[in-house]
Amino acid sequence: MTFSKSPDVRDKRRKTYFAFGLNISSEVPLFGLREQAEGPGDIEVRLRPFEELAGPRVHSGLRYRASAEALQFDVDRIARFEVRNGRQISVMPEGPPDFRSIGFFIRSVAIPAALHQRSLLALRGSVIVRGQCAVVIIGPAGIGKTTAALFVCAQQDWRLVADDVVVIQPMGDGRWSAPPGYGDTTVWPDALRRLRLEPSEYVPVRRGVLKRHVPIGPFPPLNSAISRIYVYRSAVVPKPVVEPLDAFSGYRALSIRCGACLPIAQMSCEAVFRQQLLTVSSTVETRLLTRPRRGSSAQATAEVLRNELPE
Amino acid sequence: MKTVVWLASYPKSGNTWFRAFLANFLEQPERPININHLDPGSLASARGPLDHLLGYDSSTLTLEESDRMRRESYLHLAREGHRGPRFVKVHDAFTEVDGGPLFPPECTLAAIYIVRHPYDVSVSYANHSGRDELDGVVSGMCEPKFSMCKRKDRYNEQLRQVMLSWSGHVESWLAARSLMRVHLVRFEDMKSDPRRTFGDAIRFLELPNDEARIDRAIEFSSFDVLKRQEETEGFREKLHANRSFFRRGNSGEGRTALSDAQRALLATEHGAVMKRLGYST
Repeated sequence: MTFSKSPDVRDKRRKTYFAFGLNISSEVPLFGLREQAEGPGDIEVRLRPFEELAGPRVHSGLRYRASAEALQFDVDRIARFEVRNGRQISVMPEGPPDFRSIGFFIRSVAIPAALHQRSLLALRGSVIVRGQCAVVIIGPAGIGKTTAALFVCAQQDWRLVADDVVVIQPMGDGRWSAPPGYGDTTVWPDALRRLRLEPSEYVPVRRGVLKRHVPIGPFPPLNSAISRIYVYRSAVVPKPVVEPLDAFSGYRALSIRCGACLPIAQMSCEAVFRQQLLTVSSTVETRLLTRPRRGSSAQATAEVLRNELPE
Repeated sequence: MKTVVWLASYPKSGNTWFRAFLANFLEQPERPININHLDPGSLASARGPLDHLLGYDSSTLTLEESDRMRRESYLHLAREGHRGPRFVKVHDAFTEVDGGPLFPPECTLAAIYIVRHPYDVSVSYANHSGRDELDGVVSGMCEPKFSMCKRKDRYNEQLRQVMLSWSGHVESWLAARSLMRVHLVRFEDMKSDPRRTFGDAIRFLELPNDEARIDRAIEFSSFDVLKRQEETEGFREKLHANRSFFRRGNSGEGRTALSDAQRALLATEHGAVMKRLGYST
C-alpha cells in the first residue's frame, strides 16, 4: 500500500473538482471531472487505511460490504475503497497505485455511493438540456442511453450535461432539476464510430478497458427544470415504442441506481431514495422508451427519441 | 456445498429445448411454461448476477478480471446455500482460470452436456445470428481459441465466453468427467427417443423417476409448442436480426445446406470427435 508520507505531500497532490453541485477534494486525480479553485470539499477523497466493516448488520457480497453508514468495495489488484457518510472516500491501493483505474472506480462507484449517502436521488442515466428545458433518460448499463443522448445532441441543439450518473433534486417550486455532472462521459469505441467519432482521439478509461472519456458540455449557468423523464429499457418488441407511465409504474421503472446497486440498497439512505423517487414519478411526466432486445439498432431508438422530445 | 448443475452445450445444440423440458418437469404446470420465464438455467455468462455479487458494474473490469470474478462468483453462490439443485446454462467450454476450472468442482453437483451434429449446429447458428454467413460460422467452429462476447470495443450484455473449437468444446466437457459427474445428451436422441433420453437425464440428476411427469414435460416442451409460443409472444433470447429462434429443429439439415467445402472442413477438423459421438461425416 502507498500512502502520503506527510500532509504537505498530500496537499500538493490534492485537487478540487466540481460535479452535481458539490466540491470534491481528492488526492487521487479524477480524470474527466471539472477542476475548480481549491476549496473545502463536500466530499474528500484520501489515500488512507481503514478497518474492514464487520458485524451482524453488515451486508456483504463477493467484493463489497455495506452498513448503514459505509460502503466498502474491492477491485482486485487495484485498490480497496470505503465510502462513509457521503463525505469521506478512503482508498487503499493494492501494490503500486494505478491512479487511472483508481480514479475511474471512484467516479463510477464511490462518488455515486456518496451521493446516495447524502440522500441525493442519484440514478443511472443521462441529462440533455435545451434552453430552460431538461430531459432525463434513465436506464440500465449498456442499453444505449449515452448513444441516444449523443445522437440527439449531434442532430439538434440539445446539450449533454450529465451522463452515467444523474442527480435529480427539487428546485423548491415543485419542479425538479438535474445539475451538471462530470465534465465528460464514457463511451465504447463501437458507439463512437456509430456517431462518426474517431475512438483513438479519446483517452481510454483504464488499461485493458477500451471505453473512452469523451468531453461534454458546455454547461449552462443555471439548472434547467426537468420537463420529462424517459425510462429506457429493452423487451421483446418488434420496433422501438414509447408509452406514458403512471406515477406508480414510473416509480417502479425509475429505480435504476448508479454505481453499486445492491449494496446501496442496504444503506440507511434507502428510505429517502424511495420517497424521493415516488415524489418525482408523481410530479414529472415519465415515459417508457422500449427498444427491441438483443442486437437492435441503437440509432433507430435514438431516432424515435429525437422525434418525440418536448419542443 | 455442491448445488450447481451446469446445463452445458455449444450454442444451438438443444440447450433451450432441454431447459424447457426441465422447467416443465420441475414445475409440473397445468399449461406449458412460458419460454420467456424458463427458470432452470440462469445463464452462467449473464453480467447482471455478477454485478450484483460484486457490488459494481463488471463492464468496468478487463476480460481477465471478469473471468477471475466469474469463477469466484460460482463458489460464492454455492456457499450461499440453495435448496435443491441450481441449474445454470453454460455455453463456455470447460476451461481454466488462474490455474483452476472456471466451473469449480467444489460447487458442482453434476453437469448435463448436450451435443448436436456439427453440420446442423452450423446451419442453426448461422440462422441465429441472422446473417446466414455459413462460412464465418464454420470457420469459427474450427477456430481453436474461439470466444463469444470478447469484443473490447463495446458493451457486451454477456461476459466473455471461451468456446474453443466445436470439438475442443466437446472434449473439454467430456474430460471434465475426471472432476465431476457429466451426463452426455445427444440432440438427435432427444428428438428420436425423447422418453428414454430425457428420462435418462432425469435419473442421472436423481430427480423423481415419474414416467407420467416425464411424458407431460416432453409434451409441454415439444418443438411445436416452443415455436408456437415464440410466434405469439416472442422470445427474449432471439437476436434482433434473427427471423426466429425456434426454426425447424431438424436433424440432418446441415448435410444439404452446407457446401462440400464446408462439410469437408468440419469433417477434417472434428472427424475424430464426431466419430466418438456416433456422427457420420
